[in-house]
Amino acid sequence: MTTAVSDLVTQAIYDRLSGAVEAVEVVMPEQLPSFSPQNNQVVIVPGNSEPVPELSCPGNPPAIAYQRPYVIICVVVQDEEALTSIDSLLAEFSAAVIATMTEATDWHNWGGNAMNSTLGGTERVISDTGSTAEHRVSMVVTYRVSETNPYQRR
Amino acid sequence: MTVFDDLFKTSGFPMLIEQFGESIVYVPLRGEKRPIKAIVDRNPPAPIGLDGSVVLPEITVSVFNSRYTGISSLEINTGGDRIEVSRRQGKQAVSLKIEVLADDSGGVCVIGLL
Repeated sequence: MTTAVSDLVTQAIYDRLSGAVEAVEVVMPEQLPSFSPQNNQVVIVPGNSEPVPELSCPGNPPAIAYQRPYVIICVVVQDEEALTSIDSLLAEFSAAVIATMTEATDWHNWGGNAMNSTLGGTERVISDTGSTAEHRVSMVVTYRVSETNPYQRR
Repeated sequence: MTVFDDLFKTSGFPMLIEQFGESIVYVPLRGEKRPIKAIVDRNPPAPIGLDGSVVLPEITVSVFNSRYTGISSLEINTGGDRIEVSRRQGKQAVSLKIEVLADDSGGVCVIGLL
């Protein structure tokens, strides 16, 4: 089955992070949840694509550029008896994940499927119960496809 | 413990476990995993939260507050203990994280899973 360019990017992110030695598990949400939080887990959450007129090109058919936000959730579950600062663990793990994602010089094009990628801020989230902590790393990926053929990158 | 707690621990909860209990497996962060009986409350799944975040279904299990017949509240470690339980009755068990010890009164531990 042919894969849409937007999904190729998501798959490339998944593949690259799956190779990270620090990550115990890399998951993407499914329609019905199938995973449970665990220490050193990465969750990839793709957002909604928005057109970028200034990067689109006229033609027949025109090439339409899109920006798609991703949230890379770096999950840390700390042993109750451990004394290490949770912020240190979060910083260490999310830094390792970012380093893995951006290791290659052409990391930003995700196997030639995107034009550019930019990393945003990191949000610190502690669950209501306090037993699961996350660093949510934001990233925006810009890609361009044929208006009438989302399988064709332009 | 109150008198009610004592009575519930010795007569009420054993009867409930007898009627509604099912087998689950407790997997502590440290130590051997062990099968126990529990009352499993499966809430409806809510895959996407209002803010767009992913929300996992929460299951609560009620077990004896005992390291011999259930799980002792003293041994629970929310930083890595897990429970193997099926998300739907009859389906294959999955490993879920112990997120919170919601209650440990009356000789019963009520444990929230994610």
